[in-house]
Amino acid sequence: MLIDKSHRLWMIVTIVAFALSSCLYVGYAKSSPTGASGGSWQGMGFGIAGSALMVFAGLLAGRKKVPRLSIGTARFWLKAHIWLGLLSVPLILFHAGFRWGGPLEQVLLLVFAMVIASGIGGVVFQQYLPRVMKDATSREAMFEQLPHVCAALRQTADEQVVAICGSLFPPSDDSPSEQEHLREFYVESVRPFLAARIDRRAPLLNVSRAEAVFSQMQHTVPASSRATLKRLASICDERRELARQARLHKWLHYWLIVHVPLSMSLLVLAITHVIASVYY
Amino acid sequence: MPDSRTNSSVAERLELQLERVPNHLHRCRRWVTFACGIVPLLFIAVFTFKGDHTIYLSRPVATGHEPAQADCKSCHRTPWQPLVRLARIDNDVRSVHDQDCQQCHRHSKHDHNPFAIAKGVPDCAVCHQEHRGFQRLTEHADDFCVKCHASFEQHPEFAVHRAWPPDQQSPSDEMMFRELLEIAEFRGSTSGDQDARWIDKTALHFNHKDHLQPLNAVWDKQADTSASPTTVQLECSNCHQPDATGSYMRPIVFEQHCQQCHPLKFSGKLSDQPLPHETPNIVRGVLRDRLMAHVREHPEAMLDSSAETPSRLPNKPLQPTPKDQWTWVEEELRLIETAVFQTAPGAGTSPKNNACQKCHMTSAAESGSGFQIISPNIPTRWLAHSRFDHGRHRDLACVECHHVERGAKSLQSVSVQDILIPKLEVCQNCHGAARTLPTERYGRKNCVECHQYHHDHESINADAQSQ
Repeated sequence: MLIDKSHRLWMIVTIVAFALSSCLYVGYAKSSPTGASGGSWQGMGFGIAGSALMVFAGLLAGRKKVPRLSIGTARFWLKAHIWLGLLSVPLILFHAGFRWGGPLEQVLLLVFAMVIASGIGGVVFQQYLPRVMKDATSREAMFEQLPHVCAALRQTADEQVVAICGSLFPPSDDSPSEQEHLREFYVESVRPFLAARIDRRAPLLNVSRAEAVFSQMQHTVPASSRATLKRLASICDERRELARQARLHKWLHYWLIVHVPLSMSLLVLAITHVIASVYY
Repeated sequence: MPDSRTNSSVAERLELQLERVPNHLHRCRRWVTFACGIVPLLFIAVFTFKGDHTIYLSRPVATGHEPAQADCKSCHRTPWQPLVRLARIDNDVRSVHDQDCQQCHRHSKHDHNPFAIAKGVPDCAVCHQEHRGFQRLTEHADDFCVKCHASFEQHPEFAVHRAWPPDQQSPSDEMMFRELLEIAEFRGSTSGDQDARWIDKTALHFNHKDHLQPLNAVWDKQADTSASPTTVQLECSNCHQPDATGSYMRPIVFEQHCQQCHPLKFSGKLSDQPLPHETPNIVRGVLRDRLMAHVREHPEAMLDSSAETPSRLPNKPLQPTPKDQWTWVEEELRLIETAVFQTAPGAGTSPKNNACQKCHMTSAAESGSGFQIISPNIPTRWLAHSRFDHGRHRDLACVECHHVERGAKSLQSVSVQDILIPKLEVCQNCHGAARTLPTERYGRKNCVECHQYHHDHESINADAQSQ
């Protein structure tokens, strides 16, 4: 679980900081004749604070690059990344005076919103998906090893089938073997399912249909092949779990493809905004 | 499902040399991150090299500044001012200074400046804040105005409707009352006098109430004494007529607005011709000319005035000498002057007994007719700091705003001293928080809706005079 009791202090600090900054903002906005503005020194103060928090949150990536550096644990940096990143939202809104601003600011706020939204989504995924993966996939494998594991599974299945049928290729003579049904079933249905990429419409991907298919095959193949068929069913179950694991893993990690690149855009746009605003 | 695998069986299926395992996710993320950093930079670079700075605008500029919005430096001539503002913790450090504004706005007046500087509003940009989404920079928030004019109780232009501020020892010392004192005067004591009030300083005798009563058509009677008088109901618009813009009223002019009902006639010799509406000396000169012409054309008129004078030669027409004519003219002139300029015997001291003093206030003169006409000095404009359009208020009856007592159906003013300029509350009926009228008559209530800031009093007065 990503968010646990150890985050309580960070949460309290964030809430207190938010309350304080809100009080400051209300006082400042009420005292200003034209309302809050990012150009006033108070508005710039909020902007600097918000930007500093954003930059600090962004340093998490740098911290990961140098794991041996003794500047706090990765867990500490992750907490800081989450909570200070969240705190930057109200500060940036206070800086903007809850207005969209000009073209650059509008893009900046839009990107900022997407970064924050993807970050919150990532936290939610990381909070709940690992538990779901643990419950759903008992034979978990590393995501990066999945193609290799699939190849090994297929190798194992090939060996099992070859041991019974003699070959994965059809016999050269026209006399049908009693194991021919098993070989055909394996080559046409099971072996493609054990490939690194699976067709989403594959019948073996569905548990109920897979059970029905293997149950039917139990009555078709000779009794000597049923043990092999049972092992093939087990291998397909493992492959199905790996497929589900891969799907969950994508949800668990692919949000970073949105979060990290947009953070880079945010950094570039924010620097441009700061330079232009401070210069003029 | 329970995991029946052994460690060795799991290990056999793994690629132990991880560097051989390609991480597509990391590779993809790296490229997308690189692209997301480069693309915004390219966009910004393109705009920058094109010299188009509009992407940096925090909000749209005012309509008048749109031509210059692509070049920030056209107004922001001094760079890094926001940094200075932050370093000094002082929002009065402006990114645009007055001299930057005056590059284009060279002739704009700033009459409020003495007040504004005293109140800590030194720069153009204090009130005219750009990049706030206003189409016009005059559409700034009322908060700027109430910074100085915090209370309507002290609203200077409506001071004529309240007693003199008790804390004012010398009204003329107060700059904001300076203009008001030119057209109005405070009568009474400043301490506890219930009757103390402001009066209109216009030096005329005039009764609005009488003029708005049904009147007999006196001009008809004078033109034809046999004709029966007709009843005429005057309205405000008979005399108060809008100027070319429809915003303000034209000044009252005797020849246009008064003469039709009040021709300058008198009883006696030469009474068929009305007198010009001029000073007593000019009137006297005109009368003398007319008498001279009359006696030349009608020498027998001298006989009418001196019937007992014998002619030196019987049956010979009288040939008056120039000296006789002059003597006759002077005598007749004195008689007419008495009727025109002086109060009639037994008529009391009412000023309404002769032609001039019927309307005009007079003062004693060193010579001549014995008095001088005091210039009426009818104010060309009240509330000179304001901006008003009578045309836009045409749906309202005049008396709804210009009245002595609120709610009266007709104007009850009997003296020109009554100040008929609406009270602030009258304006606020439609323009303000204390609205009392139906919804459809609500008006905008921004300060700048009525008030100008950079008003030029001299040009305003010159315009009014020219009209």
